Amino acid sequence: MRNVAIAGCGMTRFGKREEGIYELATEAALNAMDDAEMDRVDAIVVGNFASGEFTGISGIANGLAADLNLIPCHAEKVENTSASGASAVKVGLAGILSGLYKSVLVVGVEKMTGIPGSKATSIIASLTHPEAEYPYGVTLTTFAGFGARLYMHKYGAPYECFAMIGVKNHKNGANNPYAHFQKVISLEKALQSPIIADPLRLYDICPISDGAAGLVLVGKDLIKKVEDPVYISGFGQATDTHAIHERPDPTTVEGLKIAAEQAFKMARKDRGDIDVAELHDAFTVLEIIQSEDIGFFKKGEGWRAVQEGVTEIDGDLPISPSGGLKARGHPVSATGVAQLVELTWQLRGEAGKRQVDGAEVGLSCNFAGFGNNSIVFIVER
Amino acid sequence: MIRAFKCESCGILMYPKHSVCPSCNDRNIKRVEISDEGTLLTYTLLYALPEGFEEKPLPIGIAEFDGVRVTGQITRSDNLNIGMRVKAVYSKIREVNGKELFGYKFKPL
Repeated sequence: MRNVAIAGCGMTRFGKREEGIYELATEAALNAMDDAEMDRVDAIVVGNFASGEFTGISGIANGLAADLNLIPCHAEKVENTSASGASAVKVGLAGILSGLYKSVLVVGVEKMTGIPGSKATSIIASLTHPEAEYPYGVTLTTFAGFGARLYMHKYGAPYECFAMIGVKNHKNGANNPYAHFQKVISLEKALQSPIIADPLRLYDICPISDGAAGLVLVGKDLIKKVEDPVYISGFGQATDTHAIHERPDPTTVEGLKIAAEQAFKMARKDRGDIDVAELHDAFTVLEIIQSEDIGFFKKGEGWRAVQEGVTEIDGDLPISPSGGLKARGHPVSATGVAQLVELTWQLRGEAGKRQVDGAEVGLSCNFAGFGNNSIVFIVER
Repeated sequence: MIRAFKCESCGILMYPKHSVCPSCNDRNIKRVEISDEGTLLTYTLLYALPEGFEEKPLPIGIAEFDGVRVTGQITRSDNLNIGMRVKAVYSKIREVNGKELFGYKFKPL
């Protein structure tokens, strides 16, 4: 499919930011609009999980339209927990494919710091099952601990394979001026860091961050005006069980298998065509599970890829050259948009020191919850 | 005993309850009691606690009873193993605004 292109992209640096949610969203939006050399769009779609809970602010899509002088454009906020960013892109994509819009500004934004960590953890945990999970103190990190222990047990993987993903993603993030953490860490430091959800440690788990990312999407009428278009050629999405224990194998996300298959089919591509991937490593174990369920590696063998260097920037399948959620940071709803910003830079050859040589086809995977909803995009030149 | 749910049409057991049977689409779902002795499938010891929890670590696991899986707290943090036998005890799991909430705690056998 070559009917929708990314005409412009931009983001804020992720991290603990002084600015409020509007300032972050505006910065990313204007960066994307400037990159696209456009000052009008038909619609704004804002991906945001919990501005009300984190900041007490609602109605941000309308506020943004007014602030950016885009009135009377269409505008709404889209919520899909930690995949709100990818869902916002999907809504923009669908709007263009339906013929309703010629251009859409997509912004993913989350302001998460400024409240106690336990409060932020509870806001995120509110997506878990309200009777069978949440009351017990279950959090997303709890699922990561469940998954990591079961994965090690089933496939004989050592704990080090998780720590090595944290080390790799920090190494990549050190070359990303937009990353929350721009610092290399040693394997020894990762292995000795405090346990957070046994067997997982501090460097297995993404931070709480503020930030925003934006894309300008255009349809056929405007693509010819874009100097260096990156096409969204494939899209797939699938939901999965609410309670994680209901999955036949808690180390497999069936929804992601379905979403990936849909995306590959739409793009008429296969696993071997992907030059670079941005995965949703909210927890290091997820990078492994996703790389298997997308079909890059056989089930139970994905943990070997990081040990063999396959997923490094100069490897056969670079995963998360941006630093991923671990190092770039995870302002929940900004992540799904930022993944596509990174892939756009990679495909244009603008990724600086973290550039993947000759990248022409990229794949992103954004997770809601622990794979309760998986969204996959394939982009290409 | 553990309170699970059964589809009156196809007979499958489930937990939590679904309004529509995940297997046959029927809506006639009834509460049933199943064995409270099961097997630990996986677990973690949680050190990053959500609001309302004080004591670290919080041991939480998934256990299987009569083919039905349940997420619950575990009564201890040491000597836990995947595959160990556990008994589910209905007891206090947290306090919210001074009110006690009850649920399943897995006691290793």
